Amino acid sequence: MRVTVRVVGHAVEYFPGRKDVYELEVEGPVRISELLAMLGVGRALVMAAIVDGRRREFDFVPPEGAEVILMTPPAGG
Amino acid sequence: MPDKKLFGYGGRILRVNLSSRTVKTEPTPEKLAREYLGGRGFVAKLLWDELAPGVEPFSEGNKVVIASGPLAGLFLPGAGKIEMGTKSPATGLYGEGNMGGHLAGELKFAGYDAIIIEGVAAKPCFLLIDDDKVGIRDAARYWGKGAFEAEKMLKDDLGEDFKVATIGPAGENLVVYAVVSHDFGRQVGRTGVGAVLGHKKVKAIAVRGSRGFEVADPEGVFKKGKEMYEVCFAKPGFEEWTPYGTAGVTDWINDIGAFPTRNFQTGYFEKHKQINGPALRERILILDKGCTGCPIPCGKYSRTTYKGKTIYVEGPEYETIALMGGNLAIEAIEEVAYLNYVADELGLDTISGGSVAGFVIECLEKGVLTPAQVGRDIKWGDTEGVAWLLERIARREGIGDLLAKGVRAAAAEFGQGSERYAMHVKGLEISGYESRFAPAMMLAYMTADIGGHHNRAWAITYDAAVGQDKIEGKAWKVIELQHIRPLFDALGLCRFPWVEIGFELEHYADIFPLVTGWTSSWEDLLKISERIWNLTRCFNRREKPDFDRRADLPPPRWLEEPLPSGAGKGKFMSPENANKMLDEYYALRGWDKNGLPTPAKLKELGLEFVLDQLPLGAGQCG
Amino acid sequence: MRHFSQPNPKRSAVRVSGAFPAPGKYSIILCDQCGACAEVCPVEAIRKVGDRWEIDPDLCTGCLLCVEECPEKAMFSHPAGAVPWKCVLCGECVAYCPRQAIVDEDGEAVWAGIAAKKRARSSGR
Repeated sequence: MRVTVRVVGHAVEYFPGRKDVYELEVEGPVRISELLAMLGVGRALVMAAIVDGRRREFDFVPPEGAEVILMTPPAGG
Repeated sequence: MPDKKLFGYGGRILRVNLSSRTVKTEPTPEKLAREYLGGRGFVAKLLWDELAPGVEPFSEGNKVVIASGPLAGLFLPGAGKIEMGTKSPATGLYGEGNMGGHLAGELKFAGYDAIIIEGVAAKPCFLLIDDDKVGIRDAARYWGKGAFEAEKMLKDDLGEDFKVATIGPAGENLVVYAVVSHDFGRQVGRTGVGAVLGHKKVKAIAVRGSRGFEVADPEGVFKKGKEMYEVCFAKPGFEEWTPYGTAGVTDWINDIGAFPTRNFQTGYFEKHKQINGPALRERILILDKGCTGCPIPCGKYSRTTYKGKTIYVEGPEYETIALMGGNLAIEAIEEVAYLNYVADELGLDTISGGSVAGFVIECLEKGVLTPAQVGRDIKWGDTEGVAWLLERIARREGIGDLLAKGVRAAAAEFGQGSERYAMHVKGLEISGYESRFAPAMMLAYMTADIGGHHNRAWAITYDAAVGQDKIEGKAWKVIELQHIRPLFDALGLCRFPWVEIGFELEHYADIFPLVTGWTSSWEDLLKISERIWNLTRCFNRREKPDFDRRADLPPPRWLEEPLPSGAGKGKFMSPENANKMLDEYYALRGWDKNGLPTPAKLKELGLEFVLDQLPLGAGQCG
Repeated sequence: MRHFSQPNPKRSAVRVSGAFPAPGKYSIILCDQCGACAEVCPVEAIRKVGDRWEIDPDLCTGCLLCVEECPEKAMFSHPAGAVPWKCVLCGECVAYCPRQAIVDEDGEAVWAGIAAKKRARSSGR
């Protein structure tokens, strides 16, 4: 099944290929934490995950075709 | 020399001499604009050229330079930043800060790129700039008023369409971390620019500009600007980021163990969810508030009531949540907002103010100070005590008189080992990132030109990306950020569209030639940023002949004390590792082992003139 | 930008005014095409073109009575120019307001806050 991952914030530069959208094909349901592992991105770099407009924990399993938005940290004042 | 039209610029530099009460305008030199762009570039070059080495910050010879930049005031995202700089009374080094709001554009609309304020006025005054009409006006009626109060009075007196910057009582009383305030909640916060204006008896600067300015390709700029906004609207973060602004990072910083807590005793505050972004939005927010041309307003205008008094404040920003929240163990967003308001109206920096308060509370806790010496006992979480302390500082009363000089001076006076509680680099109090578990961030603090500030290189995400444990191999990233971020400060832009929603830097590179008519690439612009970086390093060396690697070392707490809790429990930066990071950093920068630019590096950057005043590379010892 | 091809908010046809420090809100000053300016113009330089009232710069004498008369304070003038200007429904503000504070109602750019006032005015005519 397909899951789309969008990365928000300047820390996109630490993601593979520095892209801000990734189309991932996965075998069956996976947790958001596993999607991060697939992208080779440290959990520490993602501040929040949003699916369908709602913040979700990293053990949440997005449904097929979902768009997962990964918020990377903004800067402080 | 004929006046060459400078596209994208206001066109003139205004020179105000308060001692002789004279006002002069000079055309903005093209060479200055080409080589230093504007904003921070103008500040650095003009201070280097015009300040006598060794000048006292609180003296007639110091100057304040205010500068907008070539991309400010335009129809493009984030076009609203102005820089102000001086020789800092806090550090004795290069001092500079920036702020958003609406002054950067207005100054250019009036036909000016910069203001140089010299001398000292005989009595309190304010600068009135109304296109070509410039005056030094009597400010007796505003002197002594709070920063917001004075702004409101001036807007009522002069007209709503004036953009006004003010200082508060803290600036008037020369608190070395006094700010310049504008638009009811924006500040030039760091290094005490407000205090130098206070010494000059300048209460406010009011600007109205109706001339506009010209760009090289108006159709092109309008079209590109629209495209830039459309790119912002389409970013996934466009909707997500604005609700919390910078406060949104509070939880994450706690998760990685970098949240200043109880005067940086540790990096995790157990009550952080009571002072985070959602707490702000749910409990006190009334309006999102932004600067010229910004589609993602970070300002959070709030209202709260504390002990029967209702206050309005723009904030709290993350830095205030850190330094006046976790750093003081204040457990409710309403109380952080109240302290934010107190500091803002007094016109003092919430970062340094929070750090000084944390220092005092720790000194009381550890017995270095007694309640009798302070004037009252103040505990962690004691909002009222902190508010009381800030007032004492602003009015220079009791112990406030010494504390007004900053933690470094206070610790030197108190002794008894309190130096280990003074959290500063180069005399500037460290801002909101406890960095014992974030080496790149610590290196950023160590090497920032103005002292312990994060805005030059927010490297903490790099630590998160490659591993918070890793010490080596991070200097390159700090350097890269130190060129990109201050470039915004030279262009008159806010970096948040890039930092917060990933708006691509290429867009600014694309619009720059359309505005100025110059064929500069982004790499050319970064080179200018590197030039400015090296110049301010040299400025510091010129002001302090023994300025070198020793000034780049972090405070004792970071060098010796393991973090007691949080994700970074047990971590600290040993002197050995701190020096390893500096070695790597200096080598990559083309600086010598003492941390000073080499003659070769200076020549590469067109800074040979520095060598006329500084004998760099001529067998200096460390 | 549309009228004058230069960055200059003093030459724009929409203004924002803020009420700070309290209560802390903004209001938008925008022409609601009520036509009061046309009624007062002594040389009939302001005419209705489709949905909007426009000034004919060749007829305008620069007397600025329309500026004084406008109930929304949405007729603007500049010290350096004789002919005032106003919103002509170009729609750019609607397109570029990041918060969609200005909405497009039946082909008119209208700030929602004054829509009710406008309706009240036209029903009284």
